[in-house]
Amino acid sequence: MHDRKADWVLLLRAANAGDARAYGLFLEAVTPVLRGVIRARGAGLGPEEGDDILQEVLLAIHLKRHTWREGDPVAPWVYAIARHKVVDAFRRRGRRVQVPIEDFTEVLPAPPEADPTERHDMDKLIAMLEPRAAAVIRGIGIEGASIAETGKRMDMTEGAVRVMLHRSLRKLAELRERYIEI
Amino acid sequence: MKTEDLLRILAEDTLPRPGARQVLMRWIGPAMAVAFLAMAATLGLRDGLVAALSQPLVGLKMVLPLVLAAAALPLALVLARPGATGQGRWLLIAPALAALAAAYAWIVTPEGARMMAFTGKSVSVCLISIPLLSLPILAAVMLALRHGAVTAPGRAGAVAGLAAGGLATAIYAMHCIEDSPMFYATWYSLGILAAAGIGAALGPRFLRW
Repeated sequence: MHDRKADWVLLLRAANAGDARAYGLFLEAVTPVLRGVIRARGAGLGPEEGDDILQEVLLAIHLKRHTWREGDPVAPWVYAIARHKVVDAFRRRGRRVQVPIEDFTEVLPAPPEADPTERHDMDKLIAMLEPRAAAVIRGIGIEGASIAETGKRMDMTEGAVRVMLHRSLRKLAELRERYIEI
Repeated sequence: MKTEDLLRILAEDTLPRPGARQVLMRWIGPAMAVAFLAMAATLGLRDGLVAALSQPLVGLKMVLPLVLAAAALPLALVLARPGATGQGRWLLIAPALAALAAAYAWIVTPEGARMMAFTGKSVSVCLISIPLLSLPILAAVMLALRHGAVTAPGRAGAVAGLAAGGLATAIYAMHCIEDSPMFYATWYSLGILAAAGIGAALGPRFLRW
């Protein structure tokens, strides 16, 4: 447990210094823990719905990553964001859920369930973006294109792709706030 | 979309975003300028402003709200960081000093003049002006908090309202000619509490994310 948290600090610090690979590793490291939390709290949720909430929490962590301050521990920060979004996600799905903060420290990381189905909420939201923004998101996410490849394919500068990607992620969070109420 | 696909997208987005502190620094000055101009244009500066405020017990009516704001603004920024715990006790300094000043004034004011000093002549102007002047400042603070991640929106909104109310009151004090601590400790405080109430009510709506 202790080692895991020390890793998070190192990774997030490197990520904030502009190391995209460290940031990817950070996201990969927190994902199983978040999945464990959501699964532990979401009795009655299927693995699909659980992963919808997981994606929502990951997007929130991403968009709020600058609220972690160098020198602060990372785990309480991650848990506080996750707790806020998990409670919110359940509330919007019409369930009240109590998420005591200490729960997070006891939860075991969970591997993805053997469920290759793609998640639906995010796809619905991406479809609401304007077509070029949706193409950028899908190209990078589903086809694994790099920023440079995306730029070439869509006849945009790399800078324009980066800005469009960034704005689209913020837009997705807004759309989710507005439309996902199952 | 699979979660691993989403992770790939997020890792590619490396553009930095402005933090709550940066946004606050950018907008708090202009917001206070708007409040000051609104006060100067509609209410007007008092005569002999500098001479009046240089008397310690009178100057306190401008200093104490600033002390409150100096405690509330950093606390609001702390409340915009998930998992951080704030120090609410600094908020108590200004009210405690105001209570002492009011008690002192009560003692030194002749018995027959106390009621007059307490009620003054401008309670309603005061109670309306302070919350109104706080609105542009509250907007700036809330905008800043939206760039953070508030997990207790009611509380963060209330603290933002205290900060905005404090700054608005320091501005209002440049108009107000009621100089007894009994007056300002009471009515300024109520005006600031009203601003805090507005902030608390708006928080859950505007600080969602």
